[in-house]
Amino acid sequence: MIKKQISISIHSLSCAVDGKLVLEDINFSLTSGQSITITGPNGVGKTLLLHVILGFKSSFKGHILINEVDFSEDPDDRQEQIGYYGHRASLQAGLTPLEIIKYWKAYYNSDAVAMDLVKFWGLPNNTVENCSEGQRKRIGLARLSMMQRNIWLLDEPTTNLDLEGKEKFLELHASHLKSGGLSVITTHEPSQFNKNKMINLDKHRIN
Amino acid sequence: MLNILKLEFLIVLRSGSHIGLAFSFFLFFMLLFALSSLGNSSFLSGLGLTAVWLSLLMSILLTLNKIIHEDFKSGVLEYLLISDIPIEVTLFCKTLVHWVSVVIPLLIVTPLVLITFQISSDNVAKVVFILLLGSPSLSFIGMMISCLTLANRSSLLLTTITIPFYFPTLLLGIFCCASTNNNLIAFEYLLLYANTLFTIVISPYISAYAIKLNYS
Amino acid sequence: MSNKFWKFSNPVLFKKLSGLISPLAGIIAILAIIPGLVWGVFFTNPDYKQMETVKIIFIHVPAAFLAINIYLMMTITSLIWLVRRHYVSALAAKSAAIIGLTMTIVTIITGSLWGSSTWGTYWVWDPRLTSFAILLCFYVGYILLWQAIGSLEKAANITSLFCIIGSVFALLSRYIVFFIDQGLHQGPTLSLDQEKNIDNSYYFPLILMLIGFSSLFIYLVLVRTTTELNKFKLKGVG
Repeated sequence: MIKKQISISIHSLSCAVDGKLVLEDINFSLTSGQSITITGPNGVGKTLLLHVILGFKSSFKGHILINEVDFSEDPDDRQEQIGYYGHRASLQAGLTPLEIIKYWKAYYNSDAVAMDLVKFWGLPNNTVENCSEGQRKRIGLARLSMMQRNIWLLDEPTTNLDLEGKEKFLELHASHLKSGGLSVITTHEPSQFNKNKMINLDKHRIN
Repeated sequence: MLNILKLEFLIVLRSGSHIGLAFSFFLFFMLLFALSSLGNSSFLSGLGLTAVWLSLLMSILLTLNKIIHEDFKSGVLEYLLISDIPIEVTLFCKTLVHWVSVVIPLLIVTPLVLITFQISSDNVAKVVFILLLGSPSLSFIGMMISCLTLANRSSLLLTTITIPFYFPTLLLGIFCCASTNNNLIAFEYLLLYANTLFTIVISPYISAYAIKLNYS
Repeated sequence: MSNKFWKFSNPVLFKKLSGLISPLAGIIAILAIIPGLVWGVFFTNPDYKQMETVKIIFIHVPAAFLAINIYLMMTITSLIWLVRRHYVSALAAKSAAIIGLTMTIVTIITGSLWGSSTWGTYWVWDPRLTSFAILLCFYVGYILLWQAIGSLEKAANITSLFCIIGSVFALLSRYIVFFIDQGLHQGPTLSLDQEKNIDNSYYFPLILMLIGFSSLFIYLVLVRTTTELNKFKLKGVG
């Protein structure tokens, strides 16, 4: 993984969907080696916040700074630095895990760590429809490691993973932070993650 | 890009019962035209060009829900959007793979089908040539409209809304096939080529924009 | 100047403005359509060839004029929505679509009635008629898309892009149709660069009807946009 100093800061970010304010005045900043945990009940806008940072949602107010440079207006440039791990497995039907890794290698240019992970987990050699949800999430994690991005946005990463899977994930996450990365995590199980930096979106809720 | 084409092709082959379906649909639809001429051979040969264009168009139209909707539904599209490869390139490859996998098999049997429609063999070569150069725009327009309708999974909506966008290609295509001018760089043929080129150029950009609008 | 104009993209200010303008447009519409129709139908001479049916022109031409220009207006407001994201703009396009669809249908119906008496058939696949059939498809597609997507913002995004690409493909289809077949229909009724338009006795009531129909459109689109804004309870900044 690339050793590099990186920082992200979100300044007074607000976002409306269909004219109704969902996220209001979100502020935080992270530097290399830090992570932030975002909690809150379903439908409070956790995934929306990640989508805004990722650049999927382009209409918002506020600023997103990466390494002190304002990237608010250029979602495409922002995306080059961000690795994403959604709450769904998001895998092509009909392929085997190894083929999926091969597929994503064409898009992310690296498979070193991913191959190790696949070997470690001993993923089955049949198509992903026949894999369990936990196994699919592992393939998703392998894809995340292929991205080689410094900023990780993780959407409920540990849901559906067994104990062993969780351990491996936390190990992966720790080594990501150690090598100079940072991460934004949404979760319903905040106990596993950094409790010093935590935002509960529920407090921002306006009715 | 060759690598991406190869991988996309693999996915289509693995998940691709629709290729065989489109192929059979094409032949069945042509048979419907042939039967509906009630054995009247002059009516049949007049119908041939329209029949082949419409069957091709319908085959493409009915496979459009496989072009990108699956990726959106499974969430794969999100990872394609943030990948190192520009999304426009990805979409271009996907469309090209759709065209190759659906249309090329049809074009291979088209000469045989046209001969049963009493179309002279000189004309058959010309018609296949025009289909080859005219039909890519159907796939590329289809990609554009598929990306527009990602928010709604009804394939009837996709099919209905795509039809108006097929008017220019269909009109030019049939007009060129029926044209008696054998100089293949005459004005009407140039219009057809221009139409194909135009759609190939704009489709990836508009599709990419449509996808981004669908996420925002 | 530009700031003053964009100010009205705020839904609240837009509603105020629309409350002022829409009655005015309504009154102009009534004042133009009724005298225009009476003048056109009762006080003009019948054409020596087409007899009384020629008077369909007073509905047919304004409706056709609006059918085309409403699509143009929708394209522009869609573009404004995509660039500046004012809900007023997107909803104005949505409100205009159904009026445009009505005008297209009116054009086609009056046209085929006129055709049946002068050409002896209700419908021919003549370039001008075909163009209107094509326009109809794009209006219907646009409205279908609005109905198919639940979220307001997403629907506005998608339909706007549909409208803009649609205008390109509709124009493309139109020119190809004209290229393929020159047609039966008479030339344009009113045009700026032509020395001789139609006879003066038809000219003035026709202009009156055009003004009337346009004001009617403005009235309807303002009222409908206000209703849509209220439906989605859009207050704050657009």
